[in-house]
Amino acid sequence: MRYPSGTELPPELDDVHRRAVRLEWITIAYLITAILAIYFTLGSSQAMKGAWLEDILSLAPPIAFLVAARVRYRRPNRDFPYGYHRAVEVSYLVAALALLSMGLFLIVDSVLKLLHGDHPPIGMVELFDWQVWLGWLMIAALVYSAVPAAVLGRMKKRLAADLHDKVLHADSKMNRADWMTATAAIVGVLGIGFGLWWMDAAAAIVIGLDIAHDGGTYTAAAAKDLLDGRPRRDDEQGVHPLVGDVRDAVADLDWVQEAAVRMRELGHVLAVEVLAVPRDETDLLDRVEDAVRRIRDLDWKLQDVVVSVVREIDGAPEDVLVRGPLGPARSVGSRP
Amino acid sequence: MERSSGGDLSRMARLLIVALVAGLLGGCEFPRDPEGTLDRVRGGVLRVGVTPADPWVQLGDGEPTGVEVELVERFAETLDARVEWVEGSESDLMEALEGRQLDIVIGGLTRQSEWRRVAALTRPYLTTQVVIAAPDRERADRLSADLGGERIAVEANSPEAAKLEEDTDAVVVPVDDLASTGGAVAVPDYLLDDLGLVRTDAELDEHEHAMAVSMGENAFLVTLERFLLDREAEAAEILAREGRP
Repeated sequence: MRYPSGTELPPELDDVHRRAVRLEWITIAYLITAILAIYFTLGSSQAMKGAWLEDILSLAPPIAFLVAARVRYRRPNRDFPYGYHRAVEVSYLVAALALLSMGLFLIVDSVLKLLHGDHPPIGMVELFDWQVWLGWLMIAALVYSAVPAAVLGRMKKRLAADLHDKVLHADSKMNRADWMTATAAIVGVLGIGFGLWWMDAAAAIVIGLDIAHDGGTYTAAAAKDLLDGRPRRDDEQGVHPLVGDVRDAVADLDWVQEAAVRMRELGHVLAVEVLAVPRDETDLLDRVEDAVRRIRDLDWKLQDVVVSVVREIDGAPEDVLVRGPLGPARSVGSRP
Repeated sequence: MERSSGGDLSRMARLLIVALVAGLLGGCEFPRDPEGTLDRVRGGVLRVGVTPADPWVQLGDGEPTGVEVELVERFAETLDARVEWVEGSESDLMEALEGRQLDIVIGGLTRQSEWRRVAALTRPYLTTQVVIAAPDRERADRLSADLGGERIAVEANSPEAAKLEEDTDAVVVPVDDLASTGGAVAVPDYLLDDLGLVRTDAELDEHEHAMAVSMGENAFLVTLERFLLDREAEAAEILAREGRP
């Protein structure tokens, strides 16, 4: 058996991962320009504060991704015998919390603005002897902060699925939140222009609810990952398909009478532990090694696979257990 | 609960288009006032809060005078409005403005004013500086190089005196009359000509002068700002006339 290594991506995905890293660097560079653009058009108005703060907060997921990308390839050592895969989970939590706090902030801030009846002032500016309503400049800056975010978000969503990368997925949601808040702010600025002072806050509340919902979902999911919950898809829409595949593979082992299959996520990769009760003890060592190989061959994500042979399994939850193909044996080994 | 980004996009686009069309059908003034200040003032009464701040607003027995008072009078003319002057402390006037009992408040306000939380401040219609000045070019050049240890006169108990003491290592000499010092002084730049002084490169402070209007009355705000931005030269001219040591 090969000791589970720190390297996790198969060669064909290296390229995808490199693209993701490049995309995140582009995101950071672009976000900084968007933050500056909005800062200089912010004026005395509060209408764009949400969009601006959000752009600042949305630096968190790409930074978390890039930090994790550096750490997680380190090889296992004495201090970290399981390797550094779960660096990804830490940054997933960071990204999810950023999303959640963004949504909550937007809701609270906008409700307060509505209750207080704030009428945001937007005046004139002079650009090289050309007088223009600041609102138009704000809208231009917001469009600049919306369009690339929408494109980046969609690109990341696809890569996230290939890499089983939840940070990347949360980040793509952050980009989605970015362009939606920017659009809401545009609606708000136009509303202010039409004398509808409340429209900005109202639009922001709707968007805030949506962002907080996503943020809440991902924060809960990150907490579940840290609790070693059953692996779920990178977009958190249900159980990961490999859970079923591994159980099927174990159920196909004809030397297994019954087995408990435990799986959890280690960042990108999944860890598998099988506690197997053999029907008899013939060639047990070969059979166990063969079982490990079969499971590992299912997918690149299955790297940390341990199969232990036990005499019996007591008190395991029924839905964790898998029965072998030949049913219960007449006699199982000899008991001391 | 999975939503496609495409759906979001088209929903947002529709919202935007509806907002735009609704607005364009509603009329052509843009931006508009939520509370209709501009429409009310046009051909009516412009309620202006004034608080004394020489040379911007001076209050005596008759009508107020000063740079900002003149500018407001000219602005009212463009709107065919009659000006109603309301005197009070800055706090009182701002409270009234926030509650929409006044349309404009003037009194030497600057863009840096803390009142920007309760009132909308216009773009600066004029920027003035507090500078160190000397009676002749030679001394001005020397002071431009270094202020350390120099005796510099400044109006006693003034913000200029505070600034001079805090930001420079010059020796502060408080005086009651700037005209009779005969040495280096710290003064607002619009007084240089009257005092026959030459400015140095040393600038103590910069003030961006603005007026305050009610929050969110954007049509009114934009109209006033357009007026002020077009008349920067006029404002400077009035200041040169009104500004006296």
